[in-house]
Amino acid sequence: MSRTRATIVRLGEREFRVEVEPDLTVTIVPGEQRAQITRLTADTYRVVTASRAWHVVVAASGSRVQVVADGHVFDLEVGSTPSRTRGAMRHDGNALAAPMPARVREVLVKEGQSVAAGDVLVTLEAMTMELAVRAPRDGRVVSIACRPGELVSQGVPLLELEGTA
Amino acid sequence: MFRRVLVANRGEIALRVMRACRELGVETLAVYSDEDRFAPHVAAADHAIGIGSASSYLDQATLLRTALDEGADAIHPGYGFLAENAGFAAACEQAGLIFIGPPPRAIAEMGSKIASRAHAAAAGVMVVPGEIPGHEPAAISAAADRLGYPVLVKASAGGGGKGMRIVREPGELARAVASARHEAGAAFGDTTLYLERLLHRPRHVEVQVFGDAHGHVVHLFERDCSIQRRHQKIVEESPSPGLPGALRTRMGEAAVRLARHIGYRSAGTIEFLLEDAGTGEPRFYFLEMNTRLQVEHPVTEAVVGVDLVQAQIRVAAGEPLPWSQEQLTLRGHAIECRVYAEDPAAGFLPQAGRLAVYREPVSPGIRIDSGVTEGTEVGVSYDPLLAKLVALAETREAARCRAVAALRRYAILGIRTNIPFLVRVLEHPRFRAATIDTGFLDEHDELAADTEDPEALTAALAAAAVHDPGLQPPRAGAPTAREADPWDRLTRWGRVSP
Repeated sequence: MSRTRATIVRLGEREFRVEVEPDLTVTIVPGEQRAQITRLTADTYRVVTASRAWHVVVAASGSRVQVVADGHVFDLEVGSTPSRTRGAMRHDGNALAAPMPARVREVLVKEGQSVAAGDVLVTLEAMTMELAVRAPRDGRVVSIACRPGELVSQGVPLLELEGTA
Repeated sequence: MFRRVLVANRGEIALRVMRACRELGVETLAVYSDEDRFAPHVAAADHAIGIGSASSYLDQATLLRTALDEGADAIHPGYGFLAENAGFAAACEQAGLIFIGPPPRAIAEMGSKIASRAHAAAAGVMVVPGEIPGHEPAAISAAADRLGYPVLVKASAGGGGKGMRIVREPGELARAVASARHEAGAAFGDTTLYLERLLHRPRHVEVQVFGDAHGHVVHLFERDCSIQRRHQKIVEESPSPGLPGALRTRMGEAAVRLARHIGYRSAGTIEFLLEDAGTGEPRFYFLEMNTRLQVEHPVTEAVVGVDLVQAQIRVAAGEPLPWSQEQLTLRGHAIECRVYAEDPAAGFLPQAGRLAVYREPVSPGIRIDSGVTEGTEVGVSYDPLLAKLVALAETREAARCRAVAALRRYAILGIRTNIPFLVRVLEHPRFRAATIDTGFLDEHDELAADTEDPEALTAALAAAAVHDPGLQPPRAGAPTAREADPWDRLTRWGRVSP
């Protein structure tokens, strides 16, 4: 009854088809790289590739899967429907988002204000360090979605910028 | 000996201090901010008291009141926060509490770059050529001309690279002075600047000193902390590679002379810059003194075989130093790597989030001082240091290999850490050859970028796919609760014996 199953795994823009045999022999397409897997615990695997064995730990959160293979870390996405990646969240259309969880220190612009590429729009504070959120391009501030003192999560829009991309 | 010690800190250093207390049979009293309610240092303490907002580790009045109310007789400040606050040390004494650290006067004197240089000179220790030019632009540029370019502009009250600028030519001076002054004012409330000649490819070599209340002062050899990024130490080791024995002795003696000169007590570190380390005529200059336990103290503990925190507690309780200079020897080589919650590939952006996986490597010769466990929420309020990994072995190369192997088995998921970066630093030919100086990381920006190992990617893709519940074959019948565990279904395919 058993047969080969396959799933799509993404790394950034790259897409791989991963075929798994019933005996947990795995083939990666493209590249035809092969690996043999042994499960050690609920989230730990021993993976033997062409020249060596790897100790691999997996943490899944929905379709997002973070994997560490002997010190090499990968942020992967498993399944056929891609969702937004880390990088894409920062400049999603016209909204400028927090690059990490932080506290808003200062909002340096007003709604309607014109800004030049590189201008500091908002300063954030995280882990005793100050981070500047800069305008990625020339444009006009359409709306401001944060205020000083507020805690923001990663990817939360801070303000909306209208302008030529 | 003390009955109960309040540990006025959090994270790995709070746990480190509590371990020493426990081994000495002293009770521990933890304090914690609201967001640290479930932090490991709270769970590790005999008693724990909440003290409020994120900044409450700096709230002197609350800390003193908590110590008195809860029956503590001493306070250990760890490092950071109030560790080098002379006013707090004095307030402890006035409240009848023992501050486990140096005398307030030593903290105050050595905390000022200007006063500390004067003390070093008085103790016969060479200082880096430098001047305090005042606020007049003409005086500032004249001072820079006398010292010679490149020149370093620093905040007199500074530390950790804040308010520090390198000026390579006279045209850049005015702007650097303005921004350094602004940053110094914001960070330390003191805009006094200090100009210093920038040394050529110096190594950062610091000497651990220790004094007691009975007139004993010893040194515990050196640590080389040349692997720095923007003046933030990343990797530290002892002994300093290639340091001639005679020079080690001279540096140790100079450090003891200075510590004795200022009447130092407890653990302290005298930082030197070592110029022309590889030549026949190396010179060392006093840089500054850290009047506290250092982050990197485990390196010294490893190679000298001592417990510096226990010694701090004993000395604070009035006991004499547990060792004489003659008893102290260096054995083997130790390397410490600081594990930070930051993403080197994204400009070393600090990372916050839940540690979905946190597994420390366990191996002979590896010590890990950490302040987190699996499931810990790494917040945005505090320093991003998660842990320190220290490898001890018989030679530098063996310690390096041991550290790399352990870092590769250090699994942290949920946030990005600098572990892959640390591995790249330790594997770099210049680190292997020990031809390093404080400019090493700045000259090797490429180390920040992730290097993709194709076989590691294959292993990761394979494990991610096998781990995926969506991969499982469809089965007849209604789903049951047991089917929620994907592995139940996976095993039905049959497993290959390893």
